[in-house]
Amino acid sequence: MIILTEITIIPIISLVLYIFILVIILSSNKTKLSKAFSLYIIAMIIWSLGSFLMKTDMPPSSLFWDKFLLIGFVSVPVLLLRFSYVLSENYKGKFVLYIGYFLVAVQITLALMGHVVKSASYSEGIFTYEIGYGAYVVAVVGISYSLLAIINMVLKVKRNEISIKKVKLVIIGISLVLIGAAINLNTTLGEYGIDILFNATNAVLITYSIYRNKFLEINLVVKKGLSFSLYNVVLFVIYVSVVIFSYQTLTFWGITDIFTTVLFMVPVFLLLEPIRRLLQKWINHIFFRATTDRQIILREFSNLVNSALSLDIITGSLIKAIRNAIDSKEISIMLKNSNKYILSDTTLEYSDHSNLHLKFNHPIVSWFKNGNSLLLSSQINNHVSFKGLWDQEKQVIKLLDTEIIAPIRYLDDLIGMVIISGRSDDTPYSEDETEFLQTIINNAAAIIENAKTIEIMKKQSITDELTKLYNHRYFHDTVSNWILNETFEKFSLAMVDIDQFKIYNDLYGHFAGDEALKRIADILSKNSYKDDLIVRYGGEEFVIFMPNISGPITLKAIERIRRAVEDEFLLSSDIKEFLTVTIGAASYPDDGNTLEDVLRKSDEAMYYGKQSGRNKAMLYIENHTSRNANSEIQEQIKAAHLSSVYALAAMIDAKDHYTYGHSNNVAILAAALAKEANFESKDIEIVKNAGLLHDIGKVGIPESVLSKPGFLTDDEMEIMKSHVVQSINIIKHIPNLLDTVPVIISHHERYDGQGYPRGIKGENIPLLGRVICIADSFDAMTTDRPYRRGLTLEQAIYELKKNASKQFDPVLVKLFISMIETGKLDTLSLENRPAL
Amino acid sequence: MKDLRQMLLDEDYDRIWKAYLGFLDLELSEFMEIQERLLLEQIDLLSKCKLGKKLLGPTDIHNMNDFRKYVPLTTYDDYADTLLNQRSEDLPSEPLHWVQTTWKGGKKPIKLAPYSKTMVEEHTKMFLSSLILSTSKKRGHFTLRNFDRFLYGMAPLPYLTGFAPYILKHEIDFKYLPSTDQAEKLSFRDRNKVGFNLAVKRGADLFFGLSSVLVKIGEGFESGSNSGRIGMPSNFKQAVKMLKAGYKKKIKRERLLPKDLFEFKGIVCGGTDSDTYKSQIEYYFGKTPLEIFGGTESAAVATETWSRNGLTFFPDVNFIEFIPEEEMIKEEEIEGYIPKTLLFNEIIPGETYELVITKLRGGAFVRYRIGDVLKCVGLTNVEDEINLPQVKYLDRVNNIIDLSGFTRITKQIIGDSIKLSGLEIKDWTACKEYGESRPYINIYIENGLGESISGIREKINDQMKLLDSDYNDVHALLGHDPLKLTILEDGSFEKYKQLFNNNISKINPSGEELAKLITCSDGV
Repeated sequence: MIILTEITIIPIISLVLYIFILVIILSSNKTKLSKAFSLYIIAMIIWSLGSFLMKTDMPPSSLFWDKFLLIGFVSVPVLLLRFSYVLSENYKGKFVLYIGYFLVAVQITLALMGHVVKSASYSEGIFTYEIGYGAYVVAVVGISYSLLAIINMVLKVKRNEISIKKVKLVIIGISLVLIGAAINLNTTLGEYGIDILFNATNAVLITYSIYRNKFLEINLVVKKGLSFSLYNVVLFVIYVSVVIFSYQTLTFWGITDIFTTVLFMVPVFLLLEPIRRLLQKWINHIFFRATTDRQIILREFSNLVNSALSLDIITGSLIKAIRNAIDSKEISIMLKNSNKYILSDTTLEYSDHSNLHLKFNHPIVSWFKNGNSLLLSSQINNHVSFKGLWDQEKQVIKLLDTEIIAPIRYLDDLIGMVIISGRSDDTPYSEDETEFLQTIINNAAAIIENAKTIEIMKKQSITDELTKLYNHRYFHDTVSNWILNETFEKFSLAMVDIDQFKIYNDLYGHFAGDEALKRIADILSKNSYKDDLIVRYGGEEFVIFMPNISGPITLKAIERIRRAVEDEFLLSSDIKEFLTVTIGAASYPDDGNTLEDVLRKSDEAMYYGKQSGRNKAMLYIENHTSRNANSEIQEQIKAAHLSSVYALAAMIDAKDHYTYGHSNNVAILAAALAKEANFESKDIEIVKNAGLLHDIGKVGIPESVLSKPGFLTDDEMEIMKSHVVQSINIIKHIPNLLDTVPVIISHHERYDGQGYPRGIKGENIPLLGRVICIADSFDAMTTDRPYRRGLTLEQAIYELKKNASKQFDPVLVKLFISMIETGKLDTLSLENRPAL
Repeated sequence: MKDLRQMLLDEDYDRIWKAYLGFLDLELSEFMEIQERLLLEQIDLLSKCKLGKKLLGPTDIHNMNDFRKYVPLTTYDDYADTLLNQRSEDLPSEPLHWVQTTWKGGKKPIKLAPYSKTMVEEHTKMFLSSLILSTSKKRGHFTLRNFDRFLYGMAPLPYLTGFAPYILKHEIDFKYLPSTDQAEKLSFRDRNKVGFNLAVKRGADLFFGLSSVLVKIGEGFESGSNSGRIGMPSNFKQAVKMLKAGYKKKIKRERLLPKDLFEFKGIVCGGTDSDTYKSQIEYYFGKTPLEIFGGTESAAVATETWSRNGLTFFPDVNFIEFIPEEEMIKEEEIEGYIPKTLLFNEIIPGETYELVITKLRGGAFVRYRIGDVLKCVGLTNVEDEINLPQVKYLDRVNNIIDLSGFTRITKQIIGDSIKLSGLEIKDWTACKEYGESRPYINIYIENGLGESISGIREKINDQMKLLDSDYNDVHALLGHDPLKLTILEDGSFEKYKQLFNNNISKINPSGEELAKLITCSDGV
């Protein structure tokens, strides 16, 4: 039995090819498309198997195998149309398909009854057949259905319902099938099975299309098998063709001895070697894109970054290497900083990167922290872990054109992420490619971490740790350089100083002070221009370098900053927030030619601002006369403010007959005690002012509570207690009285920590606050009330003693008692106190 | 992202399940994490808009605890000015649609709720989740497909349910019965009628509508009143079904039920009395409906799963809180009392709660009382292996009577109807009662004039129909007369007042109050 001849070669090669394709399709994911395609391939297998056996002397007979062939042959056009419908998502043609199935049944019946091929015989290597009328039916139906398949595709492309890129190979393939079928009508050409050859080509084209356009997800093992099979099949075809051709040529020349044949064939096979190599390269290119090139890219990347210390160079090289290796459209790298992952480098062209960051609690970060490896965009869309994504976060993922996110891990820490978009030709990434991605990122991780550490150290040496602004040293070095190099024709320097920061620190502690510094630094950053250089100059002082501006524009800029601080602090409803800033600015070269000169002058301007009542933004002016006039007005305004506040305090006292004169008395008593304790005169002044104003917040307490005879309910007590906070809310707006804030806020604190509003105890209560507390309590004790008479001096002393170390500072209260006992209090001009 | 249509085409059922029903695998802690995360997003959005600033108040709110501590509970009154005037610029996100519903007992006849693009997308996704579940028998299994024939029996645009066919178009290809174009031209009643006729001809795979409508259709079949309208079948399968049905009816002389003609893959039902109608629907249609719970302001809130034994909340549509029953009572008793709420991980099986929602994804409603009362039936659903608390819908809160999801009867409507009926009835009280298979309104009155009960009933009923067209629809569409009267002895209300120093609540008095009233009547 001769199997391999020139007329069986095509069917047998096709048969092998089809079986390979079927295996591939069956091992991919099961979809409608894979089902439709495998049915078509099965029909082709029947066809080529029948065709092959028909042309051998395989029993029972050639005619039997011919009829077997026809079962596949008549099914192919209809199944092809079905495949075309599924691929193009055309659901309207079901009816045509049903007719097709019916026609297939009719044709098979005709074939089995011998109306399609009347006779077929194979003898002595020659195959002959004779067709009947059924063959024309088969031809018409076959051609019609194949045509329909093409028309369907073409129409879909024309209507833009499917892209030509996706289906052009399928259209070419089906057209070949059509031509093959037409050729069959010629019995001479028909015996070679050219139709099968064209169908085989079609199957290869469709398989390739399916792979390239991700119609089906073909896994890697199958893909390797696919490339290997294709390589072997094509090689086999070439070799077999060469052997058959050479054999026939030799026979034609009458050469039959083995030695000559071998002698002839060896060079032929040697000549085929370059073709084999070319074939291998071509097939690898189709399936694996340049795998070998990736090794080179990896090596080059490692060489480059091993000698680089700059983070920018490393991330830039990583992006370049990934792009070269896997041909992504866009690549971005996010790296971890102290509180989030920020965009460090990207190929995307966006001007505003400020929103492109991921917080530590971002679901993507959690995903990687849970040990997961790559994250695909389909997982972000579908996995329940990402249900909590904010719209804004989804927007960032979209903006970054995310297809795959790969973690950058170093010693169990997620130090960053590489975000990769799809490819420009929309083909999917292979497993090899994602493996490469992970390898190159793993190689880069340690180097990135290293570079980051160096960068942080570099930054730390020039920034202030608390506010993250540049420090004094960096400012002097940089600006001196700029002046030396004449980088800017003009610039302004603004000296920003926080008003009453010492009081704030004393009152709320250094931690709160640091927080306030950070917040103010933040306000400065937000309210400055992009090119401004903001510096923490020292303590509570900041300097802002403002390039290319001077005069009124500078004034506008510093005024905006002043107002922003005022809005955030002073105008807030929180009593704590009484901070303001005073800003002075001078310009180069108008006000000075050296950095020191300009700095000094902006400092002077700031100092004037402080003197004229703080919370000011001032430009340096050489001639101060106008300013002096101005400050006189300021003084008058200030005086008016003060007198209105004192008037208010007096009014509070006057509201209630019994408390009349209380504030004044507390002021006098407190000042006397402070003097007795040898306090500095400045402190005596403060405590006196504080005494006058300590109850000013009572202006906001309802009359019904304020003058209620008898005891207050819990709720009323709460309202009453709020007068302390309200006092501060009033006073914080008057710059000259700010130093009374710590005193007033503490006048109801108790030495044992049971007081209000802060519940602080002992030495933590500001000293002057403890003074006021004694004066206030003593005056209250000795005042008549509707429900009781005021205490006598003896009774008051008893109470003071009893509450020493509980309510009162023990040292101060002792001093105060001695003042009473020595009659020093009698010399004071107190009002409305019969006991005295 | 691939849409459902594409994933169905790819037969990628695992991915569909993960995408639409992955939330059923959540642990309670994960559910709460999503809730809190999205609440923070919502607080952020609210803090940037006028309405939000007003609702959040003066305190800076940065976390869930502060949110619950400082933000007051709200009702539609708090939004009426902004929403009814469609002030988009004051909202947390740009509305894509304004959805409408009636505002029974409110200041205006309608309520409007804004839906942003994201909210619409989320709502679509949740609705699809329920549809998929309605065709599911177990975890991971479902039979929903492209080109399923969809009998859509819900209210049209601009009601929320009317949006579904339009928004689903972007996700999946359904064949609507009737088509959306045709449906737009038909009234609610005709649409249901045409839809069912088409369903008989072509077969139907899915139904979404009010449970009461399905029962009505079932009854129509059983009584034979629907039989005359059956047309020619348009496919082989339906032809066989019709032949079988014909055989059953004509030859075997048995009663025809809808299940003889339909083979629904899934039935999704909304409406307040869904639970009551469940067994009837199963009897008529051979398929237990799956209940979806939601509303205009809240969108989809929760869905039943394949065991149809408790609702599971969607984690990312609303931030949910619960007012316990004792807090509701306190609120009624103490004027100005602000009830406390519980979180989803704090509710207890067997307890009843009023639901409070904060719309996520840029919605307008904040700590909003939608007026629905739920009962927690378990902390997990053992049968469906869901580790999240399960609830059942009980009813609307006590100041209205909801009938079959069709209408909400208020104290005002009953009072006005009695007044307009010309009957000299001074005192009355009304409550919702459940018959064997359907709910009723029972009005308790005294019959001082001695008129016939049927006469009184007719007069009141007529006025109620005139005043509330939806109430009229209950008669017209469902063929159900839901009004019952209970006549008390004269002086019963007066005696109640004397004995208990208080008037009985006009609407939905408690069981205890009613028992007292009846005792008063007996004793008169």
